[in-house]
Amino acid sequence: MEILIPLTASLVLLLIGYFIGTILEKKHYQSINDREEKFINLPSVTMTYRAASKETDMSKYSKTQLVSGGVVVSIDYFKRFLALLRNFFGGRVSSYETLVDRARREAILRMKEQSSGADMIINVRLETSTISSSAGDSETVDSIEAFAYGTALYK
Amino acid sequence: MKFSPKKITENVNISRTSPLKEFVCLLGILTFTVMCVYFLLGIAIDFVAPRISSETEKKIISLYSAIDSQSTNSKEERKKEEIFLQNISDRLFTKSRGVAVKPKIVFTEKETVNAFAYPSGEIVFCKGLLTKLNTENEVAFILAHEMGHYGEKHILKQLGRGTILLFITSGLFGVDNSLNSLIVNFLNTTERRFSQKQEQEADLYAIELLFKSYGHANGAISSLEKILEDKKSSNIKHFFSTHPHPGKRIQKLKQAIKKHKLENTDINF
Ligand SMILES: [Zn+2]
Repeated sequence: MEILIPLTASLVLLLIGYFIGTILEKKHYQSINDREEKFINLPSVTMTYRAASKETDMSKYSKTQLVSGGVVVSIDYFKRFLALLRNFFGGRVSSYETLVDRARREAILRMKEQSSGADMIINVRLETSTISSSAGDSETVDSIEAFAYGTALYK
Repeated sequence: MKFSPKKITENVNISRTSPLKEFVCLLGILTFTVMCVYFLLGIAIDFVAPRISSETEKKIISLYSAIDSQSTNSKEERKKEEIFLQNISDRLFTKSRGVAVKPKIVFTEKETVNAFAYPSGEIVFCKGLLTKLNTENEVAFILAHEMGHYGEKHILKQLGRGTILLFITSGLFGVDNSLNSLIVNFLNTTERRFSQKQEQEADLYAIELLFKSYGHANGAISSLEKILEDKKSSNIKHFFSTHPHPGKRIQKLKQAIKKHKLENTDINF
């Protein structure tokens, strides 16, 4: 009887995590897709300045600027539990895949949003770091940070 | 080279699997594995527990009596009910088999109709139960039953199972997790710790011990009836309890008493 109370609590948390997490993730993906379409004409490439200068005439650009976009995304209780289960057996941690995917795309989008008016962004790099709950000794990843940065070229 | 924007329609970076399906699968496999391990180790415990020497058992009990003692009035004067119960218990103990340490009776003012045997070697007797019992034989049956949980090594078995459970959860989720404290709490609430089979074993142990000490097992059935009657009426708890068929337990006890002719027909009660 005593063991049932925390069990139900976990179950409720799992259900809440699953339903709300799924809704929020869907919404986020919707927003990412919309904004990617909006910025589709602003190329962001990994080419260096030297490589880019071979392809295009750099003298037409009057200004270059470092632009960046960062985001911290967390997963829901359900997916965290799922990842914990996955840790026992190994294999693709599919519940983390969407987390990382969302974070990377969101970071690039924010970088693009920051560089409004730019003609293109070159030298784009992506960094990812994890944020654990209890200063490093926790084995589960709670949220990740994705950080995108590059050089924006303005006409 | 010309930059031609193209909308990405398919995301290859994420798996298209149903998280719910994955969850059910993984949890199922894990639960099944844990249950298998627990079951097999449980069989091993049942095998080992009766073969533990009484010296080792004493050590285990002293370990628990240090950390898990139920008695609060160790320095105060003992209550008269406690002394009464202790005297009966001591009398039973001299004829008992398999009980490593003389049980210490702790009398509580709780109104619940129950008595519990603790790993610390203490038998907690509630006031609610004592007021319901009329004769010394009825009281003795309860004490003999609780002593049966020691004599039949139920306590050791349950401790072993609890330790296994702690090992498994510690291995899975780390030593300091909330599930561990939950299990420890659950083990400390003795109420539903024994299985139906173990309760029956303790009942049979009790009538045997009563017969050895008093020459008859009178009062056993009425005593059991009283304690089970209360369990039946206590609402929802009964649903989860390990005593789904109180009638069956009484029936088994009656059969055993008849079979071994343990009843003294001279005494009417
Ligand atoms: Zn019992």
